[in-house]
Amino acid sequence: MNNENLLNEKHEKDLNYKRDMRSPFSEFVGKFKKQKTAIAASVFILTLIILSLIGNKVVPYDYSEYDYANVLQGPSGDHFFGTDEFGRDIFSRIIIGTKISLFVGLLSVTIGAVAGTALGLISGYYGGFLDSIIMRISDVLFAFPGVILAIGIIAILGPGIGNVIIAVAIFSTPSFARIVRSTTLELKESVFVKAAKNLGASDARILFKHILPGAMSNIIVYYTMTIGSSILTASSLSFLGMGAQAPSPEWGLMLSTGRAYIGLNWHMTFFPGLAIFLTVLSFNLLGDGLRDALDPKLTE
Amino acid sequence: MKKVENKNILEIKDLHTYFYTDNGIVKAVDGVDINLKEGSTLGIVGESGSGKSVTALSVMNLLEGTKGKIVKGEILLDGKDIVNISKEEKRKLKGSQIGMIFQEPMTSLNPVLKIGDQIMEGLLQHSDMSKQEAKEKTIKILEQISIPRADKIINEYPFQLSGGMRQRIMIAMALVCNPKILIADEPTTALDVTIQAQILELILELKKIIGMSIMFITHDLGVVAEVCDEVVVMYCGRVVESGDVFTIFEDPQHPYTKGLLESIPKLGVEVERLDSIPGNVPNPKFMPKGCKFEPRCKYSMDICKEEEPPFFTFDNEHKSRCWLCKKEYGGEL
Amino acid sequence: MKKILLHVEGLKKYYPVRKGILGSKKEYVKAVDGVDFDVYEGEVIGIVGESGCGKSTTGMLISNLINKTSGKIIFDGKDISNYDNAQMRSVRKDIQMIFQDPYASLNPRMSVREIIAEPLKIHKLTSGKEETDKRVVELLKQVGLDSYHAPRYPHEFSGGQRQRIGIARALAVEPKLVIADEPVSALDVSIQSQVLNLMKDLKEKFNLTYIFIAHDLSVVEHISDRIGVMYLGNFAEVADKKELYKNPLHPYTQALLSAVPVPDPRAKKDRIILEGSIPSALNPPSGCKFHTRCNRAMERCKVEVPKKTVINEKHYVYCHLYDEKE
Repeated sequence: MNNENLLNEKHEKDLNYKRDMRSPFSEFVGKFKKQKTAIAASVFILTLIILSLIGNKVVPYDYSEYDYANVLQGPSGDHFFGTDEFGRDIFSRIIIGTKISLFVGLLSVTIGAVAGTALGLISGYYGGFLDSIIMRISDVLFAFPGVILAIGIIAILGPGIGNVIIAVAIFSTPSFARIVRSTTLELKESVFVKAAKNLGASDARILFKHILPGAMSNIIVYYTMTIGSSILTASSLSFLGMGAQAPSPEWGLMLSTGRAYIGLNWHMTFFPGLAIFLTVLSFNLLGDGLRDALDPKLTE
Repeated sequence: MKKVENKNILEIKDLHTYFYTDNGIVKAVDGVDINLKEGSTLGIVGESGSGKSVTALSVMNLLEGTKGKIVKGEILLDGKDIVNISKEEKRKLKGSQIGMIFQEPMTSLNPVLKIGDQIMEGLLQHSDMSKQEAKEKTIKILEQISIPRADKIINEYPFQLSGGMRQRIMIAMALVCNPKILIADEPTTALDVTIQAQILELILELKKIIGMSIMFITHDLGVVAEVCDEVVVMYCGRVVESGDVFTIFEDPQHPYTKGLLESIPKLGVEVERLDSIPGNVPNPKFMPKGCKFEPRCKYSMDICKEEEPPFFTFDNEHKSRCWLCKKEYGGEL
Repeated sequence: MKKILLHVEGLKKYYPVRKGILGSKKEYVKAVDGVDFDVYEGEVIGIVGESGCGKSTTGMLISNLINKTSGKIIFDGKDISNYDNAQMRSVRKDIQMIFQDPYASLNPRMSVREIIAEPLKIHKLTSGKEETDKRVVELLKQVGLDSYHAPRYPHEFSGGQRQRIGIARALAVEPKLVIADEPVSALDVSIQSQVLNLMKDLKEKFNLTYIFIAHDLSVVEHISDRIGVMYLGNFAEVADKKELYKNPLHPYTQALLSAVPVPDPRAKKDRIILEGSIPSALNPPSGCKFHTRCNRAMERCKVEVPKKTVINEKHYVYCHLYDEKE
């Protein structure tokens, strides 16, 4: 035995059998670095986050200041994105609007993700009656297209940005529940979970130490992608007049206002639309990049 | 198990097959010479990572679609090169000249095609038989490998059969065009012992009837002793020892072969402890400079660390790649 | 006579399968169909059999990883058959498992230190990080690894090393009984013997009792004191290993022994080739389940389930060929 150990050690040291692999996290960083589009997307998202925090300090104009001398002007050196029907600077409004869009997107999806993850874990791990209830309710929610569902919820709760958050959170919950449930079902049967059970681990320990970390990569990827679509939904609701109310610089609302002037003043719809488009695209690209970097199958 | 003095039906000369992965080049097969004599059964033994399966894949031309590539060396079938030929010629070779069976019969059978159609496919492709003739031949072959209700089985699907049956079907598919050589890559590893016994019996019997040559790849020394005439032992992409089955089992020269033989428990032989080979197969990225087995070898000498040993050839075509064979280091040569 | 550590009686595991259009007809896959045996303290009992014979299921039933359909399990004098999850947790400390696939049995997201520390934390065997780390290193050294392995992750290890980690984890709680389910079948030949030797050493050192489950008869014969041969959910024969090898009584044992390839090219064998494949555990054959493949089957084998025939104290067989001698 001793001899065996010695040889083992000798073998490893002689061969320089050093660590050529790293912890899961640094491995993820290494793989993520190779994704050029995802890096670009995260730079863009980071910029948005910074702008949402310090936006009011960097904008050239006050976003709510009326300037009747300069209504409906096209893009120029003074007003990069032009002005709207009250002479407000669209560039400033869009920057201030990032805060609203990001806030709505992040908060609603976070609520949905937390609720969905909890429901998915319970549903997948315990199965039985609870599982049936949770899954049937999510089936019902799935049966409605997202926006229609949100409209329904807002019809009950009344318009406003707070209710948009609730509506989006509610309809993103079942997707998270499903994703987490399927991973839970899979991991529940895995040998390492059996091993943990065999060691005497409690359900809570198995759920939070073994199953949740295993589901985390799926959750993160889906979370990122859902933020994009939630921003889109929130903007759509505002566009329909059910979310943010004037004079809020919410992008969807700006788009809606600009619609009346689309023939002559294209910039009023174009720039808010571009902001929504780029933001949603970035979150989707980031999600794609994360998926590739987190996918263990692409390890080899 | 007569002494075979026939010509070589398959010659592998200085084969190098490398895999180009994102993390660098893996030299899976790194200079391998193997000769398969006509009418004999050659066993290729080795552990995972020894390159035995990659050698088989190289011969079978199945590297396409993987990151592997033959970078050097020749493979001659009946004296003709089969590496640098057109795709069309390669396709013709498969099935008609080289038959193959794999470890996992389920994954090598198409789950949505009927058994009969899968076997007939080879016949229809490589000969100008009519469908009816092919069907009759198929049933005949299935009967030959003692599959009951052959005429019914051809209309069934792979999932309806047991593992042993599926492996029989694979054998039928491999043999349908009377290939010159059969390459069997761990054909019984996934099977139960009693089923393994059936399949081994079947392979031996078919060999007698058809007279083909077999390249048998396995990690199980028991199976080798039972079916093979000659044995090649591989380690880290190289052949370390080769010879006829009696020599390899009774007078092994390479410490790795010796270690392998001593480390398997033998039925009815009681020992307190098994002799085991310490350590693990080296990481392909950190291959030792000299002999690849040196870090695990209990006879390791200075020269082993520095220089990779060449082959030393004993009588009877017994070869060993170990410095201990040299007179200088206490050997016979 | 040594102390009985584990007594198993009438252990059954049936999996219901619904058939018919509306799932109205219920049938059962009888994975384990009434198994009785004793495990003595300090012995290694091997359970061999082919796929689907219920050997792994038996192991998981004993460690309560799956719920049994019926049967009695008495461990260390306590009847644990009807323990609930909470009660079972205290028993788990004494019954540990080693799993077949060392790749799958270690959580890929945990470092070796976390993996081996887990049982210590669960059962609060150490207090404080320092003591835990010390114990982890001690366990690593016991299985032939070293402290520099502790911060690494499972994918950095070879199969044999991973199995060593699995063994260290099982030993962490100082169990009395270790159930090893095919612990070496996923390993290369040269690594197999290392792990087998390690298991033997640890058994001596810590006075362990093993239930060693495997399909490879030579491996089981090497490590076990007694061997039970299973076929389709039942034992066919249980005997001392020497006795089983020299004097196998059940036709299935005889066939199984003769089917094992011998690593000696000159060995001449009269091989008993069994015909056909193992029947499905869903609707297994009537009477003696082996009668469909048995070369000595008689009329009564088709109808009558063979009872346990005691040949001697340690050797018993379930076969009609022998029960007249009673």
